[in-house]
Amino acid sequence: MLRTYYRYDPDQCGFVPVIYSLKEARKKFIQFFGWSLFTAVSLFSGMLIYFPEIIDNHLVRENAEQRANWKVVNDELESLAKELADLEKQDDQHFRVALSLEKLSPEIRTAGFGGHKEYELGEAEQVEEIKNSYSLVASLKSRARLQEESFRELSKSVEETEVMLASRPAIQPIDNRQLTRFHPLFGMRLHPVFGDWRSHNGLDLTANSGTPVYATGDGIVTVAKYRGGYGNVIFINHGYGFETRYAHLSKFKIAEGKKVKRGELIGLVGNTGTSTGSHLHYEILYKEKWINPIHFMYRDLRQSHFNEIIREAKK
Amino acid sequence: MAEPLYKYNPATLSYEKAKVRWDRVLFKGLSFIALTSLCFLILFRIQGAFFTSDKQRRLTVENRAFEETHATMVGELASLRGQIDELRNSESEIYRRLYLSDKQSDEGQRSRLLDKNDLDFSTTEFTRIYERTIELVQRVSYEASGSNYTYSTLFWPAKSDVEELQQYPTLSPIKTLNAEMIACGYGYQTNPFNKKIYRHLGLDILAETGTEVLASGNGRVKEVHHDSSPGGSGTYIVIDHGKGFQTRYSKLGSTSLRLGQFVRQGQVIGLVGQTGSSFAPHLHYEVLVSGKHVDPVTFFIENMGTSELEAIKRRASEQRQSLD
Repeated sequence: MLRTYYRYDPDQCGFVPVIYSLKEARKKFIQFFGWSLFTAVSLFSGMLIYFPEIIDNHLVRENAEQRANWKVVNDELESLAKELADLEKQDDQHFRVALSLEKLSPEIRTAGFGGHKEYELGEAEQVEEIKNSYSLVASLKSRARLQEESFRELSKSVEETEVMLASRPAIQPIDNRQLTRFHPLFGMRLHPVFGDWRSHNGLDLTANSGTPVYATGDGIVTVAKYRGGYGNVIFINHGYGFETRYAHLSKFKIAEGKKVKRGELIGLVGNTGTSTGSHLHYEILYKEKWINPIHFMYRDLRQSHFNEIIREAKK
Repeated sequence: MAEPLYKYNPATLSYEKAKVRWDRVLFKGLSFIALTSLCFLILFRIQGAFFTSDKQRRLTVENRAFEETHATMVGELASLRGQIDELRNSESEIYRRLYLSDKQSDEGQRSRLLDKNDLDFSTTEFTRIYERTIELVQRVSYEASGSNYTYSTLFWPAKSDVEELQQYPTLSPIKTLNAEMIACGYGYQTNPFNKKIYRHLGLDILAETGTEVLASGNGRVKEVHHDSSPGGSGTYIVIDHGKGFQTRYSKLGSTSLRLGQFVRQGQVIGLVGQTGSSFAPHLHYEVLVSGKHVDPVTFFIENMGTSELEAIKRRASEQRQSLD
């Protein structure tokens, strides 16, 4: 229920009800509104004068947030850069040393990248952080690509090394148990047949006739026939400058031109050619010069390991 | 406004002064505040829409730039991550084929030691003992590093003893030796040529051809052997340090030492090469005590930090393929 208020009217000497006209109400409202607008304007201008930063506070806050986000990204990027640098270091200072390969120069490593220009950054280019990060990404990508290529090259080189290691004569051509006498004599000696001083270009491994003779490294049989003083002889070319010769054999177990693996049976010990008893005359040539085979026999190789090599070669 | 208002009271049949109605005042106040805030906001908007400062413009551009490029960057990061992971795989593959051994990460070992979450025990008693132990270990290692320093300063003034101490092969034969360069340690290792286990009597230090090789202690040159053939020890030097100590440096590229010459600790005695039976340039370093081979790593004391030495020892204890 609307309460009626009264007002004392001194003219009428009595109370008259207060009636608000529409005009009056409007006037009152406009007054009210005017006051609040005035307050707002004064507050706002006060704020502009004394705390101008409030105006772009939300922008600043958002900016800080974005920057923080970007920092996370950039940190991740930097840790990737560190990992890549470690890989490059391992490549240059370790693998390339071990494999005797030329190091990649810094010019090559950083070549062929156009910085952040590879990306369409538009107005983002004005922001230093973004530009730097994209620049880093571009350089990392190009470095990673190069590293990939480098590792491909290294893995090829490792493969070649593996072949080289497998080719190199590295076992005794006769099983230790079947060896009746081993006399590591290499160089000048009094020849037992001719009776004069001659260079002995290999090692003699004495064993019964028919004892198996094994290839000492992977290679290709270049000669397998009777040849003068050598008697029945096998020449194996191992590549990388190495050649081994197995002389005075009684039987061939391999033909000329065949590929052999280390530990493969190639012939049997005999007494053919210039020989006074059944034995194997074993020679190693490096770049067509005789060298002492003793360093290539690994006589401390365990019997079980020797057997393993022979067994593996049979497969 | 100032004029008082009256209210008719039917009970007393008289006019009474109307009391101030607080709820109305409150309502009026609140609407004033609301209206003011509204005006304020509108002003704010108007200001923002028509007047933008350079700073605001810059911030807006920046914010938009960050927003627009972030997703692409995250994508690039992911692809880069993948690329680098792949590179790491090929790295370990090459490493494995080169040494016939997996690459061990030092950090992994350290964190395995100190991460209690790896252990299944969850009793508080165990945790307490564990933490106490770790604390003790850390304290001891801290104190040990301190006393290392103390001892080194204690030893320093004894100049007369320095001469005698330098006689022992305590210096590493390569100046910048680090764990990465230890290709293969002393003991049972894999022969690179026939891939079988054999006794590797020395330490293989991988280094570039031409790296200087230093005498590990004072001594007299007992043997110098020049050999470029691809088998055996290649070019090597034996230095007799006296008191039964000898060191042997093989697979050298070159040396200018003469038999009987006196060398001092740290003196350059030759250059790293790849002579003899080796498939990579390295120094094969042996230490003999009374004619018997011992692990050379145990002698490295001079100019070597504790952690680096530890890493070197750890690397040398792994079974790998030697460079022979």
